[in-house]
Amino acid sequence: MLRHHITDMAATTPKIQTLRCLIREIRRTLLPHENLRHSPAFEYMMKEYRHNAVTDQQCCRQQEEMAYLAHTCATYLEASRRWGQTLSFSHNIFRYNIQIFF
Amino acid sequence: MRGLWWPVAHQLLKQTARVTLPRRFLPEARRRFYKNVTVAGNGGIYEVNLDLHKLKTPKGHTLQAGHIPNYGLALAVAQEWAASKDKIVPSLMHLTGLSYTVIDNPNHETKWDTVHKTLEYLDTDTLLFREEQSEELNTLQAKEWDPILAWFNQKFDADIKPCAGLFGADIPDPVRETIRRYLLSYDVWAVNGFLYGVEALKSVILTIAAAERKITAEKAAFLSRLELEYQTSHWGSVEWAHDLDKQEVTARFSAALLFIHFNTWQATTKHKAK
Repeated sequence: MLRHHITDMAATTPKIQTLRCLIREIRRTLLPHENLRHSPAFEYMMKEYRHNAVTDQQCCRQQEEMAYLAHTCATYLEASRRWGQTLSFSHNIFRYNIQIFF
Repeated sequence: MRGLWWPVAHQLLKQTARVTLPRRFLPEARRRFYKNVTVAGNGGIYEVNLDLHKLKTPKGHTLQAGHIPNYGLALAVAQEWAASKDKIVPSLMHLTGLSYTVIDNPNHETKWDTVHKTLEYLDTDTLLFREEQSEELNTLQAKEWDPILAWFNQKFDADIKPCAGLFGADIPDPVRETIRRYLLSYDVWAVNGFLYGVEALKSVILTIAAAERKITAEKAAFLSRLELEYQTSHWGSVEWAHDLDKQEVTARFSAALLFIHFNTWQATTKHKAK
């Protein structure tokens, strides 16, 4: 059975779910002394979301574009974090195996 | 053995100069030397500051000199530097690298050259090569790739068909020129983003489909690795190697897509009269 996760278009993904994912990723990149609410990236993101929240158009292209951009940003932050974690984890495992061997 | 031939002997016997490697070629990653990362500027010209130091490209230009076009992109570059907790790993900073490439232009390429390089991947596009040996894989490729190919053909008024074998699909010249004009309609920043995305996925069709928001970055990365996903689902995956590859491709392509959208996104707001 092919295991994969097929993602729908960002326009149909709940926008609030994407926002939560973005906030989670930004929080992970902050240093201990930094506050999420003071982070420029967080402020920019919230400003864009609030700016595009209210529209009386049934199909607002700008809102969908912003949602797609947010989804792509969340994907990038998550993939970069996991790549770095997997790389350092595999380095530690190989170093441990070499130590055991020698 | 005969003695050294005198005209060249003095060169062979000359002491070689001491070679010192520049710091950036040393294997140890640089430690984080800054506390805060900020973005300054307005009116379409932004720069990134690491504490009091301005972020500079390898050639010594500041990002302000190269005019990072919008605040979102400058923030994203700053976010990459802020995400380095202990060591600075440039290979994880794709948006920074792309900005450096556009500002420095180390190969002195024009927009036309970059588009030409991108189009060279069209003949060997991933979506155009189908499996012959395995019927199950062939069916899966048709199911996942045919809708994207049909959308692409409709958009560019083409009739590109997939092929089996080594020689590649036949792309007529008028179609190639239409795609060239489409890519040339973007600015030089976005065109570099396209090239980066195409190099990550080895597919022009998937990159254009993602840039037009028909598929997400994650789905595009999955479709480009369809055969690999199929094989690992049958035979199992090598620990960490396949995961690393998947995350790397996804990170690279989503960075390319972000770069394209930050450089093409325009928004206007009209408020109702009170």
